[in-house]
Amino acid sequence: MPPLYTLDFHILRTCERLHLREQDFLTLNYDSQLRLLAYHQLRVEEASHGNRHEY
Amino acid sequence: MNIHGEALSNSSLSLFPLRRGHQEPLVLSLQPLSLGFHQRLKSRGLHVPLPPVKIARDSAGKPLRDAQGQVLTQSDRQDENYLAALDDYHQCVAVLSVVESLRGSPEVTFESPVPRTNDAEEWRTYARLVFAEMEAAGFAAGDLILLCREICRLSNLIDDHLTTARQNFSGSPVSSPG
Repeated sequence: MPPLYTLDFHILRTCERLHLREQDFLTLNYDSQLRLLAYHQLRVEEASHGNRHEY
Repeated sequence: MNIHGEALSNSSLSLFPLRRGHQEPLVLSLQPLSLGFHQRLKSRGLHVPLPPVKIARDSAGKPLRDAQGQVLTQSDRQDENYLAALDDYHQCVAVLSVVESLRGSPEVTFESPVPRTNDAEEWRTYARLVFAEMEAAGFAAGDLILLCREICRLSNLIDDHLTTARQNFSGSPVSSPG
C-alpha cells in the first residue's frame, strides 16, 4: 500500500473513479459512504488481480 | 427488524444504553459521524476560537522585539471571552455530533428547527437550543460526554465497517491471485 493511501486519498480516488464530486460524497450518510468506498476497494482489487473486469 | 415500526436500513447502527438514575436505561441508536462532518462544521463557519494576541512588553511597558526588530506578541489563553468562546465551541460540536449520530434513531427528535443556511451564528444558536432541550429532558453533562465518547469510538471503526460493507457485494467475488 503506498504511503499516500490515507482515508483522504481513498475518498478522492473513489470520487474520481465513480465520477462523484467530493462535496457530494462528503454529504452522504456514513453507510452510503462506506458502501461506495467498499465497492471501489473491491473493483480496484479485481483489476489488480487481473480479473475480467478492467477498472 | 423494526424499531418503532421503522426498518433499520443503516448497517452500522449501534444501540447504546444510557443510564438514567433509577429509571430504565434510555437505549439510543447511534450512527458513526459521516466522513464529511468536520468539513461541514468548517463550511458553517464553526472554527476553534483563537486566543487574543497582545504585544509582549518589558517591565517598563515597552514592546519587546526579536533580533529582526519585529514586535513580539503573545497569546492570552486566560482571556475570559476566549475561554467562554472555547467552552461554547466544544459544547456546540458535542451537541451537533450527537444530533448527527442520532439520525439513525427516528424515535428521537428535537423541536429546535435545523438551520437552512451556513450562518455560523444560526448553527451556534441551534446547538444551544438543542442543548437546552437535552437539559430539559434530564440529560446530565456526563451523559453528553458518554454519548460523544461512544460516537468517537464508533466513528473510528471505519476499517471494520468497510470489511462488513464489502460483504454486501457477495455477487462480485474477488479471484485469488495466481
